[in-house]
Amino acid sequence: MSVSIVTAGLEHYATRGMFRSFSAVASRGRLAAFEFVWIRDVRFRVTYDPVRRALTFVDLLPEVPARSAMDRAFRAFVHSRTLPSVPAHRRLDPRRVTADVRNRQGAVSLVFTLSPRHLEHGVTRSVHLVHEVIMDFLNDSLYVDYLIAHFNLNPEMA
Amino acid sequence: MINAISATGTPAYGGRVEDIMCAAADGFSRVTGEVAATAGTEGPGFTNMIMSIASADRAHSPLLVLASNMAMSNEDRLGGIQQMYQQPTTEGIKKYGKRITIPNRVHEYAAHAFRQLKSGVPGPVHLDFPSEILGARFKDASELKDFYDKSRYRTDCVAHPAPKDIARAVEMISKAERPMIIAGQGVFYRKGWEALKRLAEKHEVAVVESGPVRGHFGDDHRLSANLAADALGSVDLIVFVGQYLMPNVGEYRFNPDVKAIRVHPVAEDLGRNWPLDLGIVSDEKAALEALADALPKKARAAWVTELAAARKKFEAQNDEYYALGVKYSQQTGTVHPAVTGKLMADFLYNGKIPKEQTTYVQGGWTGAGYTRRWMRAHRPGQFNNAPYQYYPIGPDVGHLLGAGAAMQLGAGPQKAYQGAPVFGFTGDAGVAYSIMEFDTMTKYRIPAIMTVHNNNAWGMITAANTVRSHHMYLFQENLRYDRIAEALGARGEYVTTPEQYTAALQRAYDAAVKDKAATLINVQSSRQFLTNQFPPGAQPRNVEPGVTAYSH
Repeated sequence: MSVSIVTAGLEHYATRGMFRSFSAVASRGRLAAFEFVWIRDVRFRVTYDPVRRALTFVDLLPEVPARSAMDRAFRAFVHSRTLPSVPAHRRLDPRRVTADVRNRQGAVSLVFTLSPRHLEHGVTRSVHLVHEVIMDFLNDSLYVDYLIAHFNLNPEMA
Repeated sequence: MINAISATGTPAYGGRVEDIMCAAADGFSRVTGEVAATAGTEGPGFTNMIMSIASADRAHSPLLVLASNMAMSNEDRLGGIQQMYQQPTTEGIKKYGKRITIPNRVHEYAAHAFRQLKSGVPGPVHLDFPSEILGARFKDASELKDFYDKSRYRTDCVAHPAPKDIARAVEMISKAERPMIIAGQGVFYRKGWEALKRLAEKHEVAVVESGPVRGHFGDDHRLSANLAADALGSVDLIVFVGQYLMPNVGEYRFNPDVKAIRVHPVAEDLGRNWPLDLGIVSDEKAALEALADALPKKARAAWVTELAAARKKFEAQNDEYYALGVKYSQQTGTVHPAVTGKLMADFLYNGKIPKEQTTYVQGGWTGAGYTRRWMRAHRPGQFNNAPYQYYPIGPDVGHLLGAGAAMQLGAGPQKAYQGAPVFGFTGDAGVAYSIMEFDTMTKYRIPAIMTVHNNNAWGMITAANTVRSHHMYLFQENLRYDRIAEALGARGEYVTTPEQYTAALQRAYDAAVKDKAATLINVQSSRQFLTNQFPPGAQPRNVEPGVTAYSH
């Protein structure tokens, strides 16, 4: 049941023309998996575990050494999205969805745990937060080279 | 041909470099909304103009490129000079082009040209004519194949929105909690600024400007989001009006669930790049008037408060960069561009000069990342984002000359400030391309003041990732561009401290007002500011749309 809601929630963005080349892809065990192309033609991979209700943007940020300044800054950014200083309509409400940062050998994934009663909301907030990661967190002069290397930023525009 | 045009009394300016004079014509169009023509000689002059024709194409300027050509009777004989086919060269960078080969059809093709320039979405028109055309003479109109007045070869009639589309748009805007109009240059060209203001204020809709020209809503309006970058992510409905060149998803900072309406004069472009929930074929002004009439009064206190908070955050960040810039300037004995921007803005908007007076040309590259954040637009046509979209480095003095001509003539919305000095900003890389037009500005007594951010390097030095490649991006140290301007009859100033810069601005302004003198202020900066040694380094990252935008 929750898989179909999550699938529909992601397909919504494909229907709207935001995600391109959206597809459900083969996955292991209970995981549902999806791939799509989004901002600057970057390919994203997302999995959903219905038992844990965990929606994961897999390896969202590659090549970020654990405990590096970028790793710490990213964790702080994700946490900041739960604070009252963020307008309510953009804030991450922990009662409905939480976000965890996982760094495995330098590949950072963002794992959202969705509340069973707020699955649709959880998918929406997850997509929005990933969008903010790219548009706000990475849009810093510190990460220009990183954007060029991993997010198809044109060096002429850097 | 240029003699004939000048003989009619049409204001004409003859300059030094074809490409830069082409940019001047583009610059004139951008701040007036009027058609401007530019001309160059057959081969070299015409090919020299290509960069600025391409730039005008991306900016959708109504630019008429008139380029003569050699005699058809000598084609393929390789016997003369400057022979080439011009039209293939402008393929993809014009709205319409034609090589006129039959003399008695000249009026017919002039009609084609002006129909394209004055209708729908503007863009460059390129006419070239071999010497057989230039040499033709007609005793009267009966010898022309077609000859009828402009009232018959084009129309001022524009598309009006369908009532059902307006009803749907009203429903969507009314339901939205945080709507925003993206007011592109079409609002300016169609003189839709009063209707835009009426709509925004009546229904409390935020407005952010886009495109190569700004000021048709104004940065200081409480509903302006030009400085409210952080609020863009909150918008739940965008209404593109007059956005000629559409961004791709991800180029604008709106969230992935934002709904979109687009108003555009022609249907063929609706849905391009950005998925739409509603497309409306209409003239921009007509649509804004219809929406302003149809929407009820509404207050959106929370949205207005969020806009104000976002503006405050942006300005606080500017202040932070300025404070860093002051520190870096003291450390290096040069001027950081954040300081240049702040001081220029203080001079133009917070001193004795009415803030609406000065038309400004924003050029440059790395320095522009800082100054663009400070410079403001308070009335239509006040701000030309010179490198918009195509980002040519160099023609900035041409754009300044075009804006200066517009002020000198009091053309279009510049009329209220006729004769006032114009200001601009460029880099040391850019000014090298166009500095010769200080001769032209001096010749025509155009009071123009150009600040040159001199950091001794190409901005792309940030891409020099090896020591061995570094030299390719370097210029000689501390070149005196001010002395070149002096040699061309203009004034020159060379400054190395913030205090000297403020004093130089005042002297330049006084000379502009009193003597109609042009001034180049050479602001000595440092390429070290481009490194992470001086964070935020090369330039703060931009957010579009808004004051930091240059792509769309």
